[in-house]
Amino acid sequence: MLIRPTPSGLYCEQGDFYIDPKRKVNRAVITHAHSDHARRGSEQYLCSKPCEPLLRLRLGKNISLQALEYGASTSICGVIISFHPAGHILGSAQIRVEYKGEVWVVSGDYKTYPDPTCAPFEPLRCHTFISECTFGYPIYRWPDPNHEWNHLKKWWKTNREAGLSSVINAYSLGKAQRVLNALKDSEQTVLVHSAILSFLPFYISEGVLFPEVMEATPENVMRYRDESLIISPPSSSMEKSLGDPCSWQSLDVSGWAQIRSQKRKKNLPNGLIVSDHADWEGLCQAIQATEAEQTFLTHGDGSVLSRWLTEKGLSVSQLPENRSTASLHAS
Amino acid sequence: MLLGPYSFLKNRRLKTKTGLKLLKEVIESQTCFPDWVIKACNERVKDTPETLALLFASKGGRCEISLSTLVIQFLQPLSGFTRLSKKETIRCAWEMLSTTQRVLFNKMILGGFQLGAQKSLIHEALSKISGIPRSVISRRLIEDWQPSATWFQSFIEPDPEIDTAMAPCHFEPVVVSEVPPDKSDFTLGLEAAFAFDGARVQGIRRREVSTIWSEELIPLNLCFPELIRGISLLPSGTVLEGLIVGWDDDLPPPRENVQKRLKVKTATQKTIQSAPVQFIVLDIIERHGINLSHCPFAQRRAEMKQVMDEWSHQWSIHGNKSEIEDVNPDFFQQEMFDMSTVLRTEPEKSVLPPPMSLSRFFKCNTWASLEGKLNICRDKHATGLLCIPVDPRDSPHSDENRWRLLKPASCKARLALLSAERLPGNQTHFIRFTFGAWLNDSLVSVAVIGTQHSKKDFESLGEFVLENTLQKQGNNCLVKPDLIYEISFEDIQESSRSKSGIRLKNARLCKRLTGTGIKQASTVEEIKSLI
Repeated sequence: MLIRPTPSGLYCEQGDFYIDPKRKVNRAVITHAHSDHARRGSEQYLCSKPCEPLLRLRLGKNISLQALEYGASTSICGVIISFHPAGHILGSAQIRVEYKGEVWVVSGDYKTYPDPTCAPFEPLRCHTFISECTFGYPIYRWPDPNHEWNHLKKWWKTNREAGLSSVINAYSLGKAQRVLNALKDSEQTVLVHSAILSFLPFYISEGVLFPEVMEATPENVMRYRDESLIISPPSSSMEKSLGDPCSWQSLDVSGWAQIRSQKRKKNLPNGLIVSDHADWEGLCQAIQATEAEQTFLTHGDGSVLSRWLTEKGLSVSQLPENRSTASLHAS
Repeated sequence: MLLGPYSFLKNRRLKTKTGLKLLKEVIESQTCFPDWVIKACNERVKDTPETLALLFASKGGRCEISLSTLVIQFLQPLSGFTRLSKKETIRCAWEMLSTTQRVLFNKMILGGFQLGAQKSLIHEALSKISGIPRSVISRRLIEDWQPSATWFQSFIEPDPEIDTAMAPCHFEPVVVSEVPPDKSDFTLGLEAAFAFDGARVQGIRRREVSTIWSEELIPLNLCFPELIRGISLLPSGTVLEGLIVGWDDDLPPPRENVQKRLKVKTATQKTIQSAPVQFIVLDIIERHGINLSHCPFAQRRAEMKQVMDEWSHQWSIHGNKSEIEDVNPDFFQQEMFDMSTVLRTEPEKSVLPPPMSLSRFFKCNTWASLEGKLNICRDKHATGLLCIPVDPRDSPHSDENRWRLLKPASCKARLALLSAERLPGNQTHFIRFTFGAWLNDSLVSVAVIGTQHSKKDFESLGEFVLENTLQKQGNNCLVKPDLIYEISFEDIQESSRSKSGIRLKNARLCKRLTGTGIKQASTVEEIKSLI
């Protein structure tokens, strides 16, 4: 049993390291820089090379951090670790762990759809695959992103013509940059929240194209509100600074926008169905491509996906949180 | 194809003879998803038409197809198809449609596609587009129809004889006054009657046709068939105006009866028995086909009494019979409603009231008598007094000759703001505020303030909510109960939805009480004692 779940996260006993630990640990191997995967306080960090600057920005410049190029490997106590593109956001990686010929792959978050802002997902053959399962239901099938981006451009144009401000709610790392890249040919200025702005240089250094952007300061927002698109994280409540609710329109960019009841629950009246996670087909394809003898699902409800693939002859089950090695063997 | 959108706006389901089982079979054959997957997905989506639309994996489906084309090409033919052809037609439609369009298509088949548009607004729109009076549109749309070109052609063809016979008279606006009325602007010599919660209507009998019209110009024949039966005993050329109110052996007249009846498309015998109502006649607009609306009320009242005396006589002879033998068949009833289904078992078992009665009027010639009646309004569970001058006045105030509703003085309570409901999809705009009073040691909701207030009042409350939100539950924001308002209200209603068991009727903001602590908010018992 090379990797097992513990209260602190996925643990490799042979290499004495944790993958995306939930608590402070000695050695943390990080799949990507989102805050639910990269937490402060560990002694040493290991991540992919493109992830390094993002991680330093999030966790502090002075953290002890080693970064590996995609495909390069390092050995910790005889356990060989390498990072491979996951297609989730810039620098996101699957972690391949090999010990005495046994290969495990921890996917982290991933998507199989092409995304110009990051390296594409790379299927890896392994004995055991630990896959994310955020959207593990067949109701989640993403439409062609280009269709959604065209919808976004039309929506913005309509708002401009009606003299309304346009606000996009998107996560500051990953989603916001995807939106910006989709608008790279825009002639109008795009205002972005400072949290988004801080990540842009790292994307530009990787060759990702963006339109002309300005920080969404209160002055800029009031000055350009009728013509600009404003991109802000969902938690920033940018709409509040725009005053009269009749003077602006907002749009959320999320896979959750696929289902009307979830849109209502999360208060997303309008949404672009664009996700950085794999949809049902993406999950099925990725799991089958690993040719793994066993697959564990984590991050989300995997009950339908595991049963569906099990009935297809694969060994797939949900990864229970904090489960002992013995019970994991039994499953 | 105007009626296509109308049909779906009003949740009319086309007869496609296609059910959920067939749609599931299409999904299973196209996607290989067994029933357990569909069930699991449906638990997550919580909407079957949407689940099926999402499960059908189609990468195409960006076809711009109009609603009328969808109805004509795919929905209407379904009822005549074999099971196999139905499946193929549905599959073809799904292939062509986008996911959102598929959701709507499935909802049209299964009957769940409805938009929250007021019937009167839709009728107004149809009237403007077609050039037909709204009352005629409303009446014609009660009939059984299909959204087809043939039907639409007959729909817009004039039928002057019937249209005139069934047309409502103008509903004169009732002037609502808070008491005390301005004595200098208010002359006595009035006839008054208690007003109750209900629906203001006109009962019309012309050319052997009976109709009930609401103030919103919606024909209510199917909601109140027993009242139509009563109206059919009136002499031809009669138009009466009054209120439909809930009926019970004892006061108060149950408020919910009328609402319950207005909600049903066609009232059954069971509905009539469980929510009895009565048409309280307050005025006469037409007699023998002659318009009386400009006559003095004294004359109208005399005419009204004669009509109702004759009607009572007719009712005593025919009212207890299951068939109305010597009254000519009412073709409207024959077309719209099979009266026999309602009346078959009615007479012997019924404890229903006579469908119509003349309101009790009393003269108010002194302020003391008027105020005396106003003071007992709440005891009578009346909403106020309906007054009208006995003789018309040559007054510059035209309102003086109209019906006027005098309301008793409102009560006031100190209530704490408990929560606010956001406009869906908007973080900063609120549409409803809930206020509470003390019950034992906790604050429980007693009043909801809606959108009748000024923008300024709402902004002030909204700002408080944004700064003091403790918890968000969907669109509802629970706030720190630090804001006390003086709230005026007219009456107390029982409420099973509130822990307090009461709901304040017509609650309105009076003023913000600064310097008043939360402990000074009224208790539920104090509020109850006000009424």
